[in-house]
Amino acid sequence: MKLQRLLVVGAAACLVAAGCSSGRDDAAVVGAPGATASGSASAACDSADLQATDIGITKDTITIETVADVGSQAAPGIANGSLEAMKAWADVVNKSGGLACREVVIRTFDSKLDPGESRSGMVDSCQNAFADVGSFTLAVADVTPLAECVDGAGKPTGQPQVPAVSTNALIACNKTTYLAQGITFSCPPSQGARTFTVGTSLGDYLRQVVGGDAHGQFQIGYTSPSFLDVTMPTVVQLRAQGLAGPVYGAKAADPQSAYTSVVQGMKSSGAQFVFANSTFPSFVQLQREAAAQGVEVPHWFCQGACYDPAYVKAAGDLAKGTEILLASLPFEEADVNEEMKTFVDNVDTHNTFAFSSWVAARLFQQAVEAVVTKDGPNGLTRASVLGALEAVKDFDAGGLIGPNTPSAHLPNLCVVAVKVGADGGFERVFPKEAGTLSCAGSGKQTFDPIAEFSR
Amino acid sequence: MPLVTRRVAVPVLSVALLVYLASNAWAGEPVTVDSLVQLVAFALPIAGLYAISATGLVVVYSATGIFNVAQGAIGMVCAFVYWELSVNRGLPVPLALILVVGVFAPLFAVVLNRVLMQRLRNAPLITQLLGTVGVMALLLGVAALIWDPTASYPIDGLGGSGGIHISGVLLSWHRVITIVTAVVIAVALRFVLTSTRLGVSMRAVVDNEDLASLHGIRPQRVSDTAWIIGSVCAALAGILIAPEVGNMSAETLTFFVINAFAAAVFGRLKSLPMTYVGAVVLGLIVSFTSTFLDLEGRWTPLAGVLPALALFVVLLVAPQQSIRLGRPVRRYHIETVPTMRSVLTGSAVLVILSVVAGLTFSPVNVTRMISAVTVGLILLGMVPLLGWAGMPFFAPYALAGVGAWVTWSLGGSILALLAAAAASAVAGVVVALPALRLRELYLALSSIAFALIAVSFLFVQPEVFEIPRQLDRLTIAGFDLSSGTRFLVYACVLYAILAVLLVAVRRSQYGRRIIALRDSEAAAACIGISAASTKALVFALAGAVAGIGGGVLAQGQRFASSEQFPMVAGLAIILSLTVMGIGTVSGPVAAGLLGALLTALAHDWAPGHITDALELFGPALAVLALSSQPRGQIPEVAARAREHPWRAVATVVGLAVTIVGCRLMSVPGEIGFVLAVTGALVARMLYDLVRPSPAASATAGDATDIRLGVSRPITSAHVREWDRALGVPAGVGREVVAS
Repeated sequence: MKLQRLLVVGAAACLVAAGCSSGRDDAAVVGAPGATASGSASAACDSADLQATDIGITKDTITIETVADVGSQAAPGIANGSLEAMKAWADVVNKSGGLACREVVIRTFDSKLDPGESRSGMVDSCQNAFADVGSFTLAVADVTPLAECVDGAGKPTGQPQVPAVSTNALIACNKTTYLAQGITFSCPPSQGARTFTVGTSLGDYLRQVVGGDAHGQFQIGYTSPSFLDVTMPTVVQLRAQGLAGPVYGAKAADPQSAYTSVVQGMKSSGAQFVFANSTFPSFVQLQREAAAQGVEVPHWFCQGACYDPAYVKAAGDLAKGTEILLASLPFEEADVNEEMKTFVDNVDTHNTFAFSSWVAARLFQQAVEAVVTKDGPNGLTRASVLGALEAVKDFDAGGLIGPNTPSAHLPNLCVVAVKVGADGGFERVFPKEAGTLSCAGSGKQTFDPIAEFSR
Repeated sequence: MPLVTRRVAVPVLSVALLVYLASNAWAGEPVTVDSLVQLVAFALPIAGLYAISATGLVVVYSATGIFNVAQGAIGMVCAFVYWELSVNRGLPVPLALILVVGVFAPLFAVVLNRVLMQRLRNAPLITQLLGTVGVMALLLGVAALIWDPTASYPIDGLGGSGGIHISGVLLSWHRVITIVTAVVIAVALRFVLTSTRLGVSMRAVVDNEDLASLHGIRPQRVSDTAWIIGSVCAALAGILIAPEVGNMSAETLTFFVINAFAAAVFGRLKSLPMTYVGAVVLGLIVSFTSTFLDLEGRWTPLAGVLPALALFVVLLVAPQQSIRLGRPVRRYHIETVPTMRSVLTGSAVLVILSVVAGLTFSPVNVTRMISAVTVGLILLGMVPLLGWAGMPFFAPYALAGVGAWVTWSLGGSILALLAAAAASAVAGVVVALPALRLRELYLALSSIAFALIAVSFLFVQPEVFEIPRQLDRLTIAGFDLSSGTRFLVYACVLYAILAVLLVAVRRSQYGRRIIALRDSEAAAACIGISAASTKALVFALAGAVAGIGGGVLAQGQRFASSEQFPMVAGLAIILSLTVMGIGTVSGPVAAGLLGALLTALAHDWAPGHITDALELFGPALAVLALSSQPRGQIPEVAARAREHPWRAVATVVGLAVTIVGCRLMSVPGEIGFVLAVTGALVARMLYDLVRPSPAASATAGDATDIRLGVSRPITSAHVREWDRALGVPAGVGREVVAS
């Protein structure tokens, strides 16, 4: 139960596709291929008299800590991809001369899917590392060890945190935390009816595929209020764009027979689509039950969690034709995007954990390079990097994701759709042009996620 | 309240509540013959799964007296073995079924029984239940080791595609097989249990094993058979559930059985037909909710806790187990009541050590120590409840959650902590109300139901934890306590104060009343002790202390959320408490520190295969420890240290010297760990060689050794062993002075 719930949190936190936007009006397709700038290896480094300017920085090294859930008995190695990606990123950067003229050293901490150890990881990071980057901790609840971390001068500046994912609003809204792919929580955390800025790209695409004013079924994973906060804005926006239907809250413990009544409802209403924002096992159960009951649904949409060979294996033939909605370029497009090629070539594990950590590392790298450009390699302090992170605008990780301003605390608005092909692979279907994402339109919806949810 | 009135009132109230809920949450679906038939068609497969799971529980309980919480875990292992054979290795499905159900499951059951479960047979109820929790944890760990939890395990249902159409709904062949299997098992096992010699033997062994032996019944064989039947039921349940989950997950398969508890209790843990009826009723309730109701807003999580609510209602209505008469009330040695001097000394040592630790340990380990002491505070509340009153209550986090919420809501100050204690005490009294009539196993199950309802429904209400908010730094009279060291000392001081207070309670008249009630409720009533008020007060006390623990958790983390109080983690810490010392005020903090020590070993000091193996097989070791020392290790260790103090000192010195030596020589962590343990054992052996004594050489090993009393003098340890074997408590004045 714990793992399922935490995986839903992780999946929901990663699902920043198209539900909300940053308020753009243009419908431009963005994401031209390009390369993120590599570490500086200039003559300036040779002549610089490097100093130990803050905790985790010496004249030779800069230590970054990555806290990840790798040693849990419930899910051993679940976040191994994060550690792998961080080490790969460090290798790439070091081969190009390092960061701020120093060698990047990755210090790891196993949080074991445990809130206590996740907190210990933050404490360790504050004491021993310059910044916390690429961390993937699904169980963390408290961010004060980073928010109140003192720097080398003894000031409580906080430690820069650029995690791979955020699992609760307090972390996402923390003043020293910057999420490269946007957040799905409202900041500051609140309750009741409130206004969400939501994107329209996803709804536009679904209408294009399904047809206008369609009726279907929504499925979300887990139904605690904090999860509804993350998932309901997407559903409400899609409904506002003419895609109607009830919402079913899937629970990990439900056997497939619990979906029979849902499928019967789909049958009697003539559902034209199913849109799922849940873990893939729940989605597989719904697909299987629909197949068993002879209910044919023309379109099956699943957000990010299904972009996983494990989903294709679990669903078998039922996966074919399912459309999966991503917020980033697919891994299959390494030949059209240089940054994706760098990621794919250097990181063996291609999954959400590895990708999110890699993107987080690139954001951190961009901030450090901005500090070095302005103040030189000895200008690197926690405070200066925090300032640089705050100033980052339209970060897109070399075209891997849609442009996002981390300090704006808004979700990423972009979407890419892939379809599971006959061979079980993932084929791009939208936008048509490889290497691009669709980022367009926004709207505001005012509602109470808890009240809005209904089965 | 008279029994008849109570048995009518509770169902009437429950039905009234259901009607109210249904009328307010009606989804608008028309109630027609078709929809009702569909409702039954939806319900029967779910009911079948519940029935098969519950049948295994009932058979094992009725034949061994052990309520096997690990039933789901056994089914999970069998399901994965079935997947391994039929999918991964490509064996034909019938052959895989025969191999798993007919070969693997029985062998697994015999091994499990002989190695672990048999040791729990005569253990107290709390030990039995927690022992099975340990087995569940062990099996989960082993499964995770063999079958990667992040991988995919697709598995097809039995019978292929197609099925029977009923009112527009297709009942797949797999579900038909599930329904039929459940009925066949219920009928067949009922026949076995009531009409065969084996069935009679099973019931006889549970009632009186010695008498059954005298009649030619072999308890070992009967026990093995019972576990085989239970394991086969678990295997069938696991294999039938596996295709119904989207991707086989060890956790999902293991915990599914909890939903079946209500069905098992409906059958009073002995009637298989009623168990099946209970499963059908439960299935109908679940299906009715999903078909006809539209749960919105705060009621949304209600659907997930329906089985737990059903369990609660059934427990309240079911006739209770009668008070046992005519047999030894205790088969284990009870720990001596500590003196105030010893507890004050221990408390002072704890606080001093916390200062030393805070100043010398790394910030990470100080954080771990704080978590350990916080867990200890929560568990301290369980000592009067489980340890003294003997009431099996397994929802520490539910009470702690109330305390955490109140503390967090009121800003996290010391005064908020006091308010938390009061609120949690009230919560404890409220929880005590059903406990006043529930006893032993039923009380344990009701506490599990309460824990599930608290975490999955109460704590996720909008008024509780749902606005994430950080607490301000904790200060006392302007003194900032938020640094690691200061907070650790603060937590330890609180622990010490509460420990002293609890020991004072234990030494008081009220404490003696609690023990009297635990030893014999009937006898206690005869001498005028009110069971109701005594139980209510002990629940209030437990609630208050656990609530303070929850409040300290919120203060330490400066945050509180429903996810900090999971039910399963609550069972795990209760297991740790029982292993260390369920009746001692040092047991809770020792349990917390043991967890911190293992984490530090695995993470920092000795990461590697040995500590990984320790983590994996720790639950099994816990079961073995529980079976030999049902009251925990601390009382036994303390008793031995009192008997042979210098031997204890030698062991500790050996351990310390080896650790320091390894650190100085920079010996790698894993090797150092092994050397440290070896050093302690060697030091002990050397002491025995240098200072041999009859007492030292006469261990409490085999009390039936005929050489005892002839070539070796009898010691207190032997007397304790005999007390255990004869099933009588240790008497006054029977201490043996070693010559």
